[in-house]
Amino acid sequence: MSEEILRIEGLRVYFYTYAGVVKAIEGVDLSIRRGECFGLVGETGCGKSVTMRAVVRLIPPPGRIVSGKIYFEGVNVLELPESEIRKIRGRKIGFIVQEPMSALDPLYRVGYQAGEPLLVHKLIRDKKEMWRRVISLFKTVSIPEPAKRVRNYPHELSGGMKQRVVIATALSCNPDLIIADEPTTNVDVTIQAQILDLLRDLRNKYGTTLILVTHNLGIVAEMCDRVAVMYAGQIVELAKVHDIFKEPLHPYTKGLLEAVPVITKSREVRLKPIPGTIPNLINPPSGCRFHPRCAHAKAICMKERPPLTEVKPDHFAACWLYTKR
Amino acid sequence: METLIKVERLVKYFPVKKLFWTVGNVHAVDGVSFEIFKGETFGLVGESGCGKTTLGRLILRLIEPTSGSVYFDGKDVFKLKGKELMRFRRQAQIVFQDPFSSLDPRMMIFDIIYEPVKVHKINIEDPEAYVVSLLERVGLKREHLYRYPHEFSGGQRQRIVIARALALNPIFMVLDEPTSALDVSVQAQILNMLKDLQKDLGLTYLFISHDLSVVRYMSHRMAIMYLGKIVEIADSEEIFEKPLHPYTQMLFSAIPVPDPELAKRKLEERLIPKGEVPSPINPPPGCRFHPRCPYATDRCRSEEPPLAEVAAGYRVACWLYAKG
Repeated sequence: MSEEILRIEGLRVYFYTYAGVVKAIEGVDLSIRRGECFGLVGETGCGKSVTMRAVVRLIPPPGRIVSGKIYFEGVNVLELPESEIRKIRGRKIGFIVQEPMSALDPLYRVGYQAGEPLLVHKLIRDKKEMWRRVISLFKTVSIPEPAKRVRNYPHELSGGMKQRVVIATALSCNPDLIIADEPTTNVDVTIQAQILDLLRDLRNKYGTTLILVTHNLGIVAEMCDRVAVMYAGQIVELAKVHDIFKEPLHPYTKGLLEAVPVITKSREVRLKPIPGTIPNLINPPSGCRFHPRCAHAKAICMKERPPLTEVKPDHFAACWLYTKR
Repeated sequence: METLIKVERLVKYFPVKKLFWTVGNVHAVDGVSFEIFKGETFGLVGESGCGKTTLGRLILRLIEPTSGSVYFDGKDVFKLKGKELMRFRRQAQIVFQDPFSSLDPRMMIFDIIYEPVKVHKINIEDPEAYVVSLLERVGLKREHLYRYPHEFSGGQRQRIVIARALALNPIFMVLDEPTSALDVSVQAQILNMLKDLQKDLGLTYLFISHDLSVVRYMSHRMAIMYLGKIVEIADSEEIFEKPLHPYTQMLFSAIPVPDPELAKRKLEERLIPKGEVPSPINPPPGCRFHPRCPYATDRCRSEEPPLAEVAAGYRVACWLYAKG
């Protein structure tokens, strides 16, 4: 077993809205190993992005981290003062956000924005050096004509190019961990393939740890070593990529895999949708949060939350089907 | 098979204006011809900006074309007037992509679904019972009648939009990315429902999407668009079996499949087009795909390949397959 870079213990994040307390994350435990590509999948609102934002302590209000511990390289980031966490953000943890349109400031040149972390973390002597570094960064992320592009403003670039700028920004300080939150959601499939290729190359070159947050199971199969499936603020299954696709254990994971149309499947094979809808997290279902939609729900599922247990070597599931009380 | 819709050399340019002068045209749809048969689902795929939505709107005459024609049941849609136009408006309906902007937040579900009936002045004895029957058709209940759109989830809203489209007993529906705003578990519910509706009501669909896996699941025949042109058109099983056009091949190889072993094999032989889609204001001469195509020859750079039949019902616009 390789060294651990990030460990999340008992994380709970609540959003205090006027309508009530949204229990967005309810007890998440995770351990990420150095050098791996870890996938975090789930549908909208399952808490995958919030979990990752908690790692860099960027939960937007009215959200609050209620309890839990997050160890990054052995240090609990939730106990650090703001000045210390700032030294980690961008420097040790690079964050690739979902929408490049809103991640970039329209009033600054993209080259400056990509180089800003270098200035903030005082990794360079002057601005001249920054521009030089940014040009080589743009080359790394395969932006054509980097010397020209660094002087562009965000509106002058296409969506795919903007996403590359955001990736370059995340890479600028050579972080130990990169968190990519839906890096390809708003781009076309051919551009998506280019960006995924780029992330894969960068990982091969620098051995950076990558956490990939996505709702696309195909991307997970293609990119990741291990994967965690989230549902309604909890992790329901955690395993090696191969195992989760070949032998999914949790009914939700199984349902998800059968509900997705696949390009290699004939139109005659009917999709099996998961009945019902995602629960409201102000009043989440009791016990296992998936029980109202589950075909195997028993009496205990309504009463008690199943713990995440190791069913097979390195394959965890939170389901009463596999856990004895 | 009977033809329901015939599109002939359809062209739509959008002028690009600077101050008072037109400085160019966006070639959104540029000389497209195909037909849709009765009772089938015709898939239309392409990346953003390729003109697929514009094409869908032209067929419904929601916008007027620059040139070309669309025949619906043998009649030229752009020449329809008065009663005949109203009849066409009843027979052809559309479901939009975003169920959050296509429902008026100030109207109750009953009014939303019943509005088309009122507009077309159709006499229905018991409007409430009629709307309830439509709601039940799309998997909703009577209790939903007097609620507002904000009380519904994305999937339920899309069901309401579909119920509204069904209110006038159409024979043809344009489904413009009907599930791209929805989560996968809900997407499957809507797709299956659309399939069932088609079987029960004998509907014909034009299914527009950028998601090839969804198109494969839904359509009998399909066309792939690139920069305002159709590059390949055939039975969808055949296209997915063995795509011919280099662009289609690349599109297929770019899609991540949820199967780690297959994904690994795919990665090894993957062809990803270099660069990005060129601007539709000044599309490249010759074959529009040539700047990104690995097989491009001199002929591709100068001469535009016609959409030619290579097998029965299989047409490709590529010089690799052109005879002579």
